[in-house]
Amino acid sequence: MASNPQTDPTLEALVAQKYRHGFVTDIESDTVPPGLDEDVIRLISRKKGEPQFMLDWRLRSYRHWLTMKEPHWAHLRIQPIDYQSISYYSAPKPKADAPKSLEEVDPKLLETYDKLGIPLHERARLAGVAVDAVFDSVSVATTFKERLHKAGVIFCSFSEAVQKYPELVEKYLGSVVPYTDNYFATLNSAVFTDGSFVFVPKGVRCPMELSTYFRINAAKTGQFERTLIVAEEGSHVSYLEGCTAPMRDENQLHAAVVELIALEGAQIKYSTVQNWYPGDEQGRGGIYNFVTKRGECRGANSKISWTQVETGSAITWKYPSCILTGDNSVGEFYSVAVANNYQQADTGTKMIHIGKNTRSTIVSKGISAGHGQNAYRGLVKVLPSAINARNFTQCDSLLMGDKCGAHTFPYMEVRTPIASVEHEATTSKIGDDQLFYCLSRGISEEDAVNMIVNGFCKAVFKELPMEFAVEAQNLLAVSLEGSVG
Amino acid sequence: MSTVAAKNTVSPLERYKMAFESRWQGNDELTALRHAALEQFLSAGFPTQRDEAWKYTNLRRLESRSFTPAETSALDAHQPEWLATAGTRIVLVNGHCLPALSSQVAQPPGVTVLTFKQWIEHEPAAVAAYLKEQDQLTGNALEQLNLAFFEDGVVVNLADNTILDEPVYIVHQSTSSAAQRMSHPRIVVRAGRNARATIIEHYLGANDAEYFTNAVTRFDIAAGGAVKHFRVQQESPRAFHIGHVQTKLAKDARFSIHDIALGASLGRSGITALLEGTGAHAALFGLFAPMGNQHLDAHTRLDHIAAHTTSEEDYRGIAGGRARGVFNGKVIVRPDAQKIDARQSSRNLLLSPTAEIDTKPELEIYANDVKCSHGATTGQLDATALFYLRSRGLSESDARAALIRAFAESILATIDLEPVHAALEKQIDERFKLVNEAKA
Repeated sequence: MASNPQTDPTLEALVAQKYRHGFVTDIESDTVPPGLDEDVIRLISRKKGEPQFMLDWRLRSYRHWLTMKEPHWAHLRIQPIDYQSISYYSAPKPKADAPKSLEEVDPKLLETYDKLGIPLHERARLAGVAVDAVFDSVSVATTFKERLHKAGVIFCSFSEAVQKYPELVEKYLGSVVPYTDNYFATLNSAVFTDGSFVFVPKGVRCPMELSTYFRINAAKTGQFERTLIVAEEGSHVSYLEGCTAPMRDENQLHAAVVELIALEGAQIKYSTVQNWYPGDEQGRGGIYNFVTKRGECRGANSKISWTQVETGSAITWKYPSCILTGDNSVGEFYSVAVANNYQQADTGTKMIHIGKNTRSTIVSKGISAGHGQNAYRGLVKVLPSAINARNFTQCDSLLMGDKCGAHTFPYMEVRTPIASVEHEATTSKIGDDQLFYCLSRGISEEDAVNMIVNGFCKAVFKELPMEFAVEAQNLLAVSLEGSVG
Repeated sequence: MSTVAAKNTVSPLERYKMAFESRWQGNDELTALRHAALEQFLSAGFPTQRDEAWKYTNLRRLESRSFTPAETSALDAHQPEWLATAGTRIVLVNGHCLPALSSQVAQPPGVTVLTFKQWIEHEPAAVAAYLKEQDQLTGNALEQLNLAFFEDGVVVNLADNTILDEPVYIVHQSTSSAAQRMSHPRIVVRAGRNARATIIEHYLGANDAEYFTNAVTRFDIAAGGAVKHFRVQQESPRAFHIGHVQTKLAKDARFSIHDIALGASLGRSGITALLEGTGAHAALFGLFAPMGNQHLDAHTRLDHIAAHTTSEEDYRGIAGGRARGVFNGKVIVRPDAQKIDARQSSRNLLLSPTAEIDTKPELEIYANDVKCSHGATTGQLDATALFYLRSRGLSESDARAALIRAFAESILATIDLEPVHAALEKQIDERFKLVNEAKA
């Protein structure tokens, strides 16, 4: 059969394709020496000029973190992490004052974005997307602030929010992911440096898609961002998060926390394209992506939708979840996760049904290639109060190559008879007959595989905003080219 | 009984140690094996809910009891019905074989059916060698506990090409004198090449007796062999029942099990099939129906070690009252085990707002040329179906019973041994009719 990759040199070349976004921008960083103790936390807090409640919260988190143990239940092999060898604060050196416009931004930074194919100003204007670019840990530029301001939407870096809207931060921070939640979320609560803050007031439909590009840049700095999105009654917001990171040999820890709060009738759509450095073909290096993402549909008729395309990172460990507290609230999770070479992914979702008539949909597509290990782990919990709750879960795995693995660990806990929970999962490879059919129609093997994979992921891609969908398809093609087995 | 536990300051594990020491001394090989198993059990202790495999089943209640090894006794006056099967019947009362109640028919040449006690008497070295090979490495603490304490059981050996037409029916009867006692029966079935057999295990208990059954059943099926196993658990409503079934399948071997759990206060069955030879096929069917305060847990593990192996699995759970049902099914496809076909289905029915069903169908796949799928659903009785039956003049409770029976029937219909099939249909009907009448 022509589909044997071992004998096809062009496929070999494609599989060996290097990470396209690998480079390091040389900028002087204001970096704290590696190590973690209460002094470092006080230093971070002081550098960011935080109010007392933030420092107290960080210290509480840190003290709790010391009592916790690293979790090992995931289907992952993780090199031990030395938390004392990480530098917990790194900010691009300020030039006298913070930049007020794009022109004032460090040109080298802008160059980085250019290399990534994200011309900040251009893209922002053309696509109508406001970009809050987080470079390492500090936000450097925020566009379209004016327009958002007029609509009453707050979209700024987390540090700015702490300064300007401390009462909002204090009210909502940690209300979905408490500082005691889990090992990595607690660590994040203690040391997070920046992130994004979005507040959409009552009845406002956010006039544009909000977008943040995170980058990890300075060597040996774990990045700990924190994102908090609050949608008040009847509001609507769509948030895009995309990531690429430069090539580096050492494993970098990334432990972010994202909290979403939807009040009555509000809708939040959170889309992620994650393409961090996955390590080389031998599995050296790469990002450890240990993220806690959780949204709460606090009010009735609210809706939270997670869409993610995970192609990067050496290890992905994340479960974007929905707590469906409000009656009639809706949770959605659409995911494509790719594990190629020696990548490992343990990802999925949690849907906690508490309110009446709550509904959730889970569509997860896992693709494993090379030596990649891809696991779906999901929990659907229906509490006795969740009368008429409905869940539908579909999780499919595609295997490309005979050394990879695909695993499914769904948990379903149902405590009311007036609920319906359904789960379906399949695991298979690309059918020889499918491939043969395409080839017989004159379609090249690469195109055929791309087509089949895109078809496999279609249910998820159609949930992505337009410009992301295109990017995601390209990303998938690059991540998988030639991996057919 | 709780006062006994409260007064007793000795730790639960310590009590097992004391019970062991008062029972087994000597320095033969088997006792050494028992000792090693006990040590393993003591160091591991009872599994807790922090162990992923026991996440939904809490053994603290079992751990707090101080059970001592059970003695054999006469049957109670009011005796639950045994199945009316043809062929060999072996009765274990409180874990000990009672020849007086057993009925051995003449076996075809090449077939031996003996009690574990007899095997130990005749070939102690072979027993020790067998146990050493089979059990030393299993990590499960409760299987080790069985190895430490087992006294009797049944051994069935089938030579190559022998076919057993009639089933071997093994009755595990616990009587009222088993209260506060524990038994650890052990069943070994070894089927030679192209051998065929049907084995029924039936666990029954006297009402109101609180006791602990910790059973181990092992099948070893050589190339081309086929074994059918029916496992019906109807322990006393206060009993603890833990059962481990492990099957090894060689090339082209076939194994099917019907794992039916109706009794016990806390019941758990762990079914493992190791598909070690190409062409092997395992079929797992299960039905668990916890009512009242029962907790029934079904754990299965299908391990596709060799290429070209297939498996199918269909489990159904029905939970009413304040009961809790657990299903955890794992399908593993080992590296290089290509051309695997594995299907798994778990369907569950919740009958009351206070019942709970937890399902966890898992796939762990390390090879690419496979077709694996699983489906799981949890829901209630179909309101439109109920309405239809009511519109045809059926009472609410009859309509419900009919739908529940239909739900269970998809498992019961696959039972091709009439005495088992008929008895279980009757059981299911009685069980749900009673519940519905109480409700109405």
